[in-house]
Amino acid sequence: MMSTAPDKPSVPEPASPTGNLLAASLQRLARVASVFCIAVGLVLVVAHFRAKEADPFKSTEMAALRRELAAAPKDEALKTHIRELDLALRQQYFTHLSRVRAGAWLLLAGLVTWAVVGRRARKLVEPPHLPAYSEEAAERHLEAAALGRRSVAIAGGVCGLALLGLSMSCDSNLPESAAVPPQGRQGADAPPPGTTPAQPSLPSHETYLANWPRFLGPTGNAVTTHTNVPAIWDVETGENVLWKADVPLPGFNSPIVWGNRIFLCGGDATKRGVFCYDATTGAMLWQQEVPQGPAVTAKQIKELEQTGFSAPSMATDGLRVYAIFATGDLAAFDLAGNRVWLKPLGVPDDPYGHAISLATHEGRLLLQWDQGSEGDEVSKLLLLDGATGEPVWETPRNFGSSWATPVIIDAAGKTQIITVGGMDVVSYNLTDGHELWRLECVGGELTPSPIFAGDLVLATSPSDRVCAIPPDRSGELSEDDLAWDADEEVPDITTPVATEEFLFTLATYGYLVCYDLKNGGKLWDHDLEVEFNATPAIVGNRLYAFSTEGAAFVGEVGREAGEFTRIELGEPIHASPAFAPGRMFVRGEQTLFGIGAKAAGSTEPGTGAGGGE
Amino acid sequence: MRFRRILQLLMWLWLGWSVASAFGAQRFPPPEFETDYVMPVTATPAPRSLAMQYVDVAVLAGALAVATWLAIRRRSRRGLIGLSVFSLVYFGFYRTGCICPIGSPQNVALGLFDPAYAVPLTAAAFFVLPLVVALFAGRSFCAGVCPQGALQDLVLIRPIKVPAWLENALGIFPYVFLGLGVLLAATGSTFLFCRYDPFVPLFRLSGNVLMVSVGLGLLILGMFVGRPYCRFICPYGALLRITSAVSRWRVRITPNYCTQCRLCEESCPYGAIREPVLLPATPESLAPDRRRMLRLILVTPVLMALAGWVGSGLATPLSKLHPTVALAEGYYAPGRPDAPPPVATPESLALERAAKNPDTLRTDALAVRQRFVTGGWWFGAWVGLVIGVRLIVLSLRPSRTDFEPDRSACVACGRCYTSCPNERVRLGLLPPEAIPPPPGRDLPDSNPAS
Amino acid sequence: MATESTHSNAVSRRDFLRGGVRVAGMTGAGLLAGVLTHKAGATTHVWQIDPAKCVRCGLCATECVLEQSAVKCVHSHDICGYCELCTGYFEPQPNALNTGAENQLCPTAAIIRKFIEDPYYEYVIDEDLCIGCGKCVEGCNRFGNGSLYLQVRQDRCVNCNECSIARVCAGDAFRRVPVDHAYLLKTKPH
Repeated sequence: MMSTAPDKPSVPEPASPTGNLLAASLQRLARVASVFCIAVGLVLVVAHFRAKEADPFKSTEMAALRRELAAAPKDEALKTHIRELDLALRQQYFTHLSRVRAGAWLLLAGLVTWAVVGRRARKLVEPPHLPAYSEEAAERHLEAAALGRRSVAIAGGVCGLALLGLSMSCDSNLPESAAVPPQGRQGADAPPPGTTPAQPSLPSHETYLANWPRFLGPTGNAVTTHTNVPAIWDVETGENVLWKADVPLPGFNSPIVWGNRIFLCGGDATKRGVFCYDATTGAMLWQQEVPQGPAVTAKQIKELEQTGFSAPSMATDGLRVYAIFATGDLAAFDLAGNRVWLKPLGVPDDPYGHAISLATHEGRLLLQWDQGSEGDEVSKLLLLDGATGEPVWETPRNFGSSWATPVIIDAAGKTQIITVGGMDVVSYNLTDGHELWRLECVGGELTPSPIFAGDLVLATSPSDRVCAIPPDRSGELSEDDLAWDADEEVPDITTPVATEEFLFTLATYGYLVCYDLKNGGKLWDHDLEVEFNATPAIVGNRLYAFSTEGAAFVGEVGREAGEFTRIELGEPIHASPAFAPGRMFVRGEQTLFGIGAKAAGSTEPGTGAGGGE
Repeated sequence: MRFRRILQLLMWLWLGWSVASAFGAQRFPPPEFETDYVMPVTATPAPRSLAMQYVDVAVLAGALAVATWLAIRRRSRRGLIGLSVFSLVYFGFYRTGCICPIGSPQNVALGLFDPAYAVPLTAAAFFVLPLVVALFAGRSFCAGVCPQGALQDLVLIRPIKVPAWLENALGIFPYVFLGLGVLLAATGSTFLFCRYDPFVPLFRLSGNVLMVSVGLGLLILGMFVGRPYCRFICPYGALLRITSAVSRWRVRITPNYCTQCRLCEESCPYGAIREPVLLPATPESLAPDRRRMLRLILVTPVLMALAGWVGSGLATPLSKLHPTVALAEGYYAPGRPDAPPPVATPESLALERAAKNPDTLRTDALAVRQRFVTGGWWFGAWVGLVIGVRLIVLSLRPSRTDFEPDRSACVACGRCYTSCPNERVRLGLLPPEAIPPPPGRDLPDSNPAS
Repeated sequence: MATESTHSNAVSRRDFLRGGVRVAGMTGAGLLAGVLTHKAGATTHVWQIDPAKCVRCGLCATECVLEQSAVKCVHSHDICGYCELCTGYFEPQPNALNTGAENQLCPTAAIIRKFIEDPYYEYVIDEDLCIGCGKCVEGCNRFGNGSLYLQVRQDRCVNCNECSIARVCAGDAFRRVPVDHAYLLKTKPH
């Protein structure tokens, strides 16, 4: 230790004429450096404020000249003037930038000099410490401790009072309940005359498409535009699993997503609930119970116990969410969880329990109320006003029970509602509920929903065949109107999914078949060898399928079958996934999984504010 | 062809205002070039590579080790100055003060409360490493690794002694600041420490003029008052104070034994040297001390509850720092003009966003505020605890026989070493016989380390 | 330490307490480190602008902590229409379709316009000049293909813990993205 170069101690040099001279000149230098630093600093501050004030790109002179030019477009001299001014302004800006840079370095150099020289000078003139001997250390300590306690108490008190003052002096404008309109601003949101006042405006179609507002997504096609969903995750290690949330009540319905909120419902023999989760954290934002209609009998409940109370998925129009249960209780809530209306329709006569999911269109709710058997004349199709639940129109349907969800499409210049029922595929006009066309090509227990892709309606006859129908005809159609049909390994529960190019069907026993959407030609098949009840989903060029025993299969699909990765979720899955940017939500029997790459898109404070997109 | 395109454009211009929202619409088909023109590729310059971030962690770990060695074993002020200059250049001017441990408690807090936020491994390492070192060797991080500390240490020219009572009073603010910053980070509102770091703009040589001025002001103050930021503001310093209070090893003024010469007592510019005290242990003097201690221990929970209540009341003002709440407050502000301004401003654009779904915004904002109510209780309780514990610590009976630095307050700058005559003997600057041997003891081994 | 060989009772009690607290502290630090590494992704994240959410409020030019903003306009050439009348380049109702300062929208003349072939013109951004004001982005998005848009240039960005532009962004368009996908580029719709 001693042998290594020892530190030079900072012994104050004995006062000598040369030492004094050095100290004096160093002190002078330090003073010069300090003056220099302060001057440069001041210049920089002044330059900053001047640049802020006279932003060259907000030059009023330039704006005036441009206006002049608009009035006299042929004035060449004016053009030259503008060009000169533009050059001058740009030079001013970039010169300012380089000056600030240079100033900063100068300031830094000045500070370094000041510190170095100042320290050295100080060392030369600092007198050595000569302690005075004193005895009363204990007394001094006690005094200092008492004073210290007092000052800590006072500082704490001051701090507390300041915080109290801050909390007292601040008011919030936020109304506690939605019922209170923002005061003094009705004018701001007043819609143009002619529309209903005090109605928040419907979200745009783009917003609707960017969300997952109904069963199988906005198009009913189970295809998401948010392609940045992870292809791999692990529930055990938590890799790409953002959160897990408990689902309090069972149900086969699939989650829906609006903005940063996920909605789903569940029910058992005693209660029915609607649940809203935060898509970022998985925290439950609200839950609401839906009361049972007065006409529901204990016997009906007993029957439903075997098949489930909450198979239909919810739907939203961006203003409200709607839920229906097998007991026939239909309810609407606003996004904040306040119930808007409730309609007990009575338990439908359905051997399996009502399972047709809801759909919306521009603030209206579509309800396909199929029940009984053919000839009972109890089935009907209704379009309800979302705000009140009152029917806009209703059309009788001469079919028995079915379990396939209708899809609303824009085709042949009309907004059509495509449904299946009995032996038929039927299209209705959304405006008035009148039938547009019908084609007898399906049959059996209609569970796979019709979809619309590549200008074709694709209807599935369970375990029988898939029919492709161009939706541009009218009246009673015949088999000749089919674009094509296919009959290999046709599913009886899951809905086919289609991109613009391909159609995929997934049979309950795990057989996945890919067709060319244009002509129905089979491209490939692949046996996943497990049982599926949930409709798969398409993310970019990947297909995600969830089996009843709780395994997910993810693979790239296209003209050829890709490899499928098996990922265990650990509990049975009966619901189709829902999507938000970068995230996928999967409902298991007891758990809702939030899957996504960590920190993608959800870390910045206030993501929750956006209502969509 | 050209005219068709212009016509098309005019048509779009005419339609433009109504379809402005159609995002991403390919209004003009991409051209098919007849010449062999090659489309430029959009450049995507890469950010600083991950490997370089691990280099930062390695440099931090290395610097901490060197600082510990220099402060405790080598006892070299000059070495610590050299390390400070290195840290100032590397972590300060090269890494522009970012990433630094001072901000890392916020990352950790946000990571613990927001499941969607993954704490960067580097931030986690920067948070944990200096604290672990402090548990064993005191504030080595402050000694020569922290660029903020190094900057202030190097500019200290003519130290003024801050009176102990003022030091005690101001000493609670780092803890309050820490609590506040953690509360704001955990609620996802803002990164307070980063926003109000006075030295980072100096390292970047650019920044918000207010913070640059505060930084320069603190530097000039720091020429006379030792490390004002570290002692009275730094939130990470507050954590280091707590951890270094139980450190295994620590800086000692003397390499072996104290001769009670008092030569060191003025050498510390940070007021960290404590003089030897032996209080009389008579029943008459012990009894009031014990009573006071009991009172303070009983009063602390009351203080915590009271401060917690005050803290919960801060939910409204503090939640306004959260962007969602700020937007909602702006949207529901009573004096808001009815019509949007003719030329869109950032504020009007944000309010337009708010108007799309005001109710969701409102409920989200209320949820954030509710989190602030809970967090406010914790924050207040923390402040109450800090005050209580400070009072208790000030009532402890010290039993020091030597002049020694306070474990928490000492930043291990090494200024006191050479004021000790024993150190001078160790360095060979004084003959050993110049120092009286310790009373009743043999001359101990001159090896300073344990 | 030699001087600590004679302990008084109080000192040893305090040392024992210190030891206990230190062990507790180490355990706490260990637990925290465990939780953090469990949660932490090895990938770090950087700030980026989602072009779909950007409302061109203009704050990128002024709010960055850097004197010259790290946000720049980028150009996805594959969705550019190569229009002669580029609404990102020219003022509304330009005096003439040439590079005269009176016709340009860009305050720093950072867009370079080059004739390719009739009737196509190429537009390239000079990033050293671009200040990220988004004027061209507004023009291109409102009337054109939206091939001009703002992005954080990661070689310039200092990746603050909390981006000072993100705090005030009117469109809430900033978010953290994994470092290996550091850009949110617009590409040709498939």
